Amino acid sequence: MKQTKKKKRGQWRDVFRRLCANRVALVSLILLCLILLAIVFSEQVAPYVYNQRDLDATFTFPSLSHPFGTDNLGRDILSRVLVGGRVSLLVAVLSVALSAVVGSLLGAAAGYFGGRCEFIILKCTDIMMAIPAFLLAVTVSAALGTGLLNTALAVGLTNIPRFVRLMRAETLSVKGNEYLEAARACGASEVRIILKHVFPNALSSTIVNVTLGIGTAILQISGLSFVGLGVRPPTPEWGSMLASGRTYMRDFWPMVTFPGVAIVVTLILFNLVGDGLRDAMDPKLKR
Amino acid sequence: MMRRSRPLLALGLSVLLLAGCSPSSPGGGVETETATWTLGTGQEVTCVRSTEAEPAEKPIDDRTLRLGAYGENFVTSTLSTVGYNNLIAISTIYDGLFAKDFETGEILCRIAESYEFIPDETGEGMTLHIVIREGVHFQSGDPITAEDCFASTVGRVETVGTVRTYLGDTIDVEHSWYEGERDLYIKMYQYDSTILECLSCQWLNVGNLSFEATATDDDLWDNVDGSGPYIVEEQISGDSVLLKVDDNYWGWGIVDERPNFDYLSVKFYSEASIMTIDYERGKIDACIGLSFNDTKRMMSQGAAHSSTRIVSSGNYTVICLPTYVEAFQDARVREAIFCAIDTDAAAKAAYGALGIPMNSYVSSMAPYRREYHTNKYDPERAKALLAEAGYPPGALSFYTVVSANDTCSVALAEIIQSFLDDVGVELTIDTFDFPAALQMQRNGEVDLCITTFYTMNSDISGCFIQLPEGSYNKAAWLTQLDPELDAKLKEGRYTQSTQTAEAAYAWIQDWLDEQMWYIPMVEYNTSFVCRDYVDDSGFYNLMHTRDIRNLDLIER
Amino acid sequence: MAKYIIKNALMVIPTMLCVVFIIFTINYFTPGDPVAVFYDFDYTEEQYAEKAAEWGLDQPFFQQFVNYIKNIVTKLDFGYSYYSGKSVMSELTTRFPVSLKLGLISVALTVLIGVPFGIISATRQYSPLDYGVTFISLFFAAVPGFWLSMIMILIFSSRLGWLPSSGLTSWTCYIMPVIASSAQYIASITRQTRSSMLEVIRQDYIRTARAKGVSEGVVIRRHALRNALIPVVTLIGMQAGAVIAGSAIIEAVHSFPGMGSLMMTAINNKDYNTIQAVVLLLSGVVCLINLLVDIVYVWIDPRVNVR
Repeated sequence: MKQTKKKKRGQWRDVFRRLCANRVALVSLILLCLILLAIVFSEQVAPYVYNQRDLDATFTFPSLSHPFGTDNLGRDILSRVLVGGRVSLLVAVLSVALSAVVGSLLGAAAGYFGGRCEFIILKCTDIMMAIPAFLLAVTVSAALGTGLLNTALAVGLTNIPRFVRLMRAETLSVKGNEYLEAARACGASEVRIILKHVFPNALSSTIVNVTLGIGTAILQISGLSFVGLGVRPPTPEWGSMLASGRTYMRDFWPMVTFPGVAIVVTLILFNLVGDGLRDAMDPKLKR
Repeated sequence: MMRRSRPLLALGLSVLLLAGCSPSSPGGGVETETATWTLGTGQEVTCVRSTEAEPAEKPIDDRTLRLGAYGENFVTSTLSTVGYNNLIAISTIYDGLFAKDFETGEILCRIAESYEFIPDETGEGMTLHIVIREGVHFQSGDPITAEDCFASTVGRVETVGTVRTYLGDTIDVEHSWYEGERDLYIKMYQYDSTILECLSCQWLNVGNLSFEATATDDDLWDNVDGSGPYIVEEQISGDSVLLKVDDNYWGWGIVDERPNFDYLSVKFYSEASIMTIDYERGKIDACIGLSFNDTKRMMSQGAAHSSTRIVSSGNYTVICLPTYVEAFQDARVREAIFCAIDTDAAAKAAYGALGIPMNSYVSSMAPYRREYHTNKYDPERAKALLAEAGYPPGALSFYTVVSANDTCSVALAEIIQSFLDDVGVELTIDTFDFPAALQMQRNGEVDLCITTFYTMNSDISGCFIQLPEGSYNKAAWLTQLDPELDAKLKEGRYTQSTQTAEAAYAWIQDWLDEQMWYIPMVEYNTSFVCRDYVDDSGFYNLMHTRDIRNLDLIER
Repeated sequence: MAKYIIKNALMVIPTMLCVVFIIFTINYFTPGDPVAVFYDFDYTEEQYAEKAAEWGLDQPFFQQFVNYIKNIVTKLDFGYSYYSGKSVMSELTTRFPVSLKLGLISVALTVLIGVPFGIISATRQYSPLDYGVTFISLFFAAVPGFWLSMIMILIFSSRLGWLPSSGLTSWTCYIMPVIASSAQYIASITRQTRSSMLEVIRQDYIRTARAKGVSEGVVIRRHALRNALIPVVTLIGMQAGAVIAGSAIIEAVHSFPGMGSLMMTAINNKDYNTIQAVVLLLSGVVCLINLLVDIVYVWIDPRVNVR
C-alpha cells in the first residue's frame, strides 16, 4: 500500500517536472494562476465595486482612474471584467464538473460492462451529439430560464458525450489488462474495480479534457449570455457584457473590446496549459 | 525565433483590433442646423439637417427608395396590424377607411368618402356612419365593398385579442351593420368623437374578404391583394421586402400623389448599429428606428447630406407597484420606492438622446394631461420612510422580469436595481424572451412591474387602459382599491362634455400622484435619418410607419 | 462496404426520432404559452380553446408528439410559426439553403485550411512558419465567433468599407460570416492535425520508411497522412455540427437571412414550431455529415470493421 502511494506521488512528480521543463506551458500556468487568483479575489482586487453606478460619468474612455473606462451606466469596466470572469469561470467549472462526472461514469459503465448497457449509452450519446451543442444549450436554457445553475446545467448537459466517449475508450484500453482480472479474482466488486483501477488510469486524459473543456464552456456560456440566456443582471458575465456593449460598439470601443480580450486571453492560457499537461502526462509525445 | 515572433504577432493583432475599435474622428466638420417644433398632434419634433449646398448624388438607380428598418418582416395579413410587429409592409399595402395627418392632427378620408356621427336614440353612445368612396378597388381590381370594410374593421374586434383590448369596450359589434355596397354603420359605446382619431391611425386597414377567405399564409406573405398603393413584389424572410408602386391604385390624384420612385425596398436589420453602417456606406437612403447612440452621433457630429429627426412616439415606461404585494399596501413603502429612484437620470442613462424624463402620468401627447413633480429622488427620505414602515435595509426584496433582447429595458432595470440597492431594497431581475417576460408580468408573477404603455395616439384613455381590474396586466390593476377611480375612468371616456372629461381625468391623475402606485420613468422617442435627396417633409410618425407613404425622392 | 453504409444510414432514422422527441419535450416544458402570445394575452375562454384545438395543443403530450411526427413524415409540414404566421416549411425553404451554403463553405474551409496548415506546421516543426501557424491557431481557437464578427464589421465594414456588413446581396456577403463561423474550428483542426502528425511522424514505421530511402514527400503523403488523419476526421465530424450551429448568433449579428437568425428570433419570441424545425433540420445535417465521416473512415482507416 505504501509502495503504491509513493509510486503514485512519484508519477505526479514526474508530470510536474516535465511540465516545468516546458517553458511555454509553465509560463501559461503561472499567468493562468495569476488570472484565476485575480478573478477569485476579484472583490478585493477590483478597484471599484462592480455594480457601483455613476450616471454622471458614463462612457469614459480608459484613464488612470478607470484603466478600462466605464460603461453605459458609469460602472468601472475593469472591475466588471474581473467579477465577470468569476461568474464565467464558476459556471464553466460547474458545467464541466457536471459533464465530467456524469460523462465519465456513463463512459466507464459503457466500457466496463459492454453489451446492452454499452449500446444504450453509446446510442444516447450519439443522439446528443446529433443535436448541435449550442442549439441544445440554447433550447435547454430557454426552458430552464436564466441563472447561474441553469446555465451551468444547460452547458454541462451538452458536453457530456465527449466525456462518455473518452472514458469508454480509456476503460476499454485497460479492460483487458491482467491486473483487472487479478482484482476481480481477489473478489473486488465491480464498482470498486471501476473506482480504484479504471478511473485512475483515465485520470490524466480526463484532466487534459477538463482543462480544454473549461475553455469551450467559457465560449458557450458567453454565447448564451450574448443572446440573453445567461446569468441574471447585474451580475456581469463576459458574454453579457459584450451583448450590452454591442449597441455602442461604434462609438465606444472599450465595452466590446475588454470582455472579448479577457475571453481570448483566458482561453489561450487554458489551451496552452491543457496542451502542456497532455505533453507532460504522456511522455511518449514529448517533443 | 519563437520568443521574437510571438510578441510581434501579438502586437500586430492588437494594433489591428484597436484600429477597428478606436473612436471615429468627427465627420469632417459638417455644419448642422437644428429645429424643434410641435405638431398638431402634440408631438414634439426635433430635426437636425446638415447644411450642404449641393444635395448628394443618389448612387444607384433613381427609381428605388431604399429604407432600412430595425426588426423583422411578417406576414402581411390585416389581422396582424397591431401589436409589436413591424408594420411597414402592412401600412403600405393596405389602405384604411381614414388616415391621420400627423402634422396637423386632422383625420383624412381615404377609402371612406365621408362620415357622420349619429346620436343613438336610446341615449347610449353613438353610431358612426361611413360612406365608402365610389370607384375604390383592390389591387386585383375587385371593388372595395361595405362588406369588406365591415369585416376588416368591426370583424377584427372579435377575432384579434389586441384589438379587443383597445377597442372592445368602444365598438359595439352586435349593433354595427352595413347596407348595400357603400354604407357602413359602426355603433360605439361612447360619445367622445375623438375616438376616430385613434381608430384612423392603424385599426381600420381594409382587406379583401373574398381573397382572405381562400388565401394561404404563403399568399399573405408575398401574393397579397391589398387596398393600398404598393404591391409586394418580393419578400425575403429575415431580410427584406420589395414593394412596387401600383400604377392602378385608385387613389392617385384623389388622396395621394404618385411618388417619384417605382420601387420601395425595405431591408430589415437585427442590429440597429449595423443599419447605420449601411446608411453611411450609401447602401440605404433612409433609416427608421435608430438606436439612441446612433441618433446621438448623427445629431451631434452631423452626418453628411442627412436630415435626422426625433419624434415623440407616445410610448412610455412606468414602474407599477402591484397591489397584491403586501409591502406596497403601506403608502410609506411606495413613497420610499418613489424617492429611491432618480427617474430623470435613469431615463437619460437607459434611453440617451431618445429618452425624455416624465413629469406626468400620461403620454406627452395625451389631452387633459397634467404635470406633476414626479422625480422625488431623495434616498435619505426613502431610507427613513422604510425604517419607519418597519423595513430595515435588507428586509425587502423584490422580483422583476424584463425581456432579454430589449437592451434598453434591461439597462433601465439594472439602473432601478442599483438605485434600490442604495436604500437597502434588493431587486432580482430575471430576463426572459419577450412573450415569457410579458406573460409573467401580466399574470402577476412579479413584485415590481416595469411595464411599457404603447399609447401611440392622442387618446388619454389609452394611457389608463391597464388600470381596471380584470385588464390584461394584473400588476397594474388599481380600480379595485377605489370604486371612484373606476367611475371616473368611465366618466371621462363616455361623457359628451369636455369639461366633465377634463375634470374626471384631472381627478384620476391627482389620484395617481397621491397614491403613488405608478412611478413614471421615461417616455421615449423614435428617430429617423435620411439623405437630403429624400423628401421627408411629410414624415412625422414612426410608430405607425404609415407615414412612410409620405416619403419621396426629390425630383432633380 | 455498401452494407456498412446502409446500416449507418438506417441508424439516422431512429437517431432523428429521438432528437425530435428530446427537442419536443424540452419545448413542451418551456414556460410560455403560444396561444396567449397569439392573442397578445387577451382572449376569451372559447377563443383560447378554439386556437388550442386548431394547433392541437389541447391534446395530451404523447398525442401531440405523434401528430407532429405524422405531419412531418406525411406532409412535410412543420406547423405554423406562432410568431410570423407563416408556415414553417415555407420559411425554411428560403432560409435553409442559405444556411446550408454558409455551413458547408465553413466546413469546407475548415478542412481545406486546417488540415494543410497542420501538416505543413508539423513537417516543418520549429520553423518560423510553424510558430506563426501555431500562434495564429492558438489565438483564433480562443476567439468567440460572434465577437470576431463584431470586430470584423467594425474594421472591414464601418472603417474600411470593403465588405458589406449585413444581408445577402452578393457573394461578398458570405465572407465575414464564413470567416467568423469557421475561424475557431480552422484553428482547432490545425492544432489537431499538427499534433497527430507529429505523433505519427515519430512512429517506427515512418522511421523505417525513411530508412528505406523513400522520399520525404512520399513518406508524408503515403504513410503519415493517412494515419494522422484519423483523429482529425473524427474531430471534423464532431465540429461540423458546431460550425453549422455556431453560426446562429453570427447570422443574427450580420442580419443574414439564414436559419440561425430565424432561430434567434424564434427563441426570443417563443416560436416553438420554428425552434423545433430548425434544430431538427440542423441535427439532420449533422447526422448526414457523421455518415459521411463514417464513410471516410472506411476509406482512410483500413482497420475499421466493415462487416
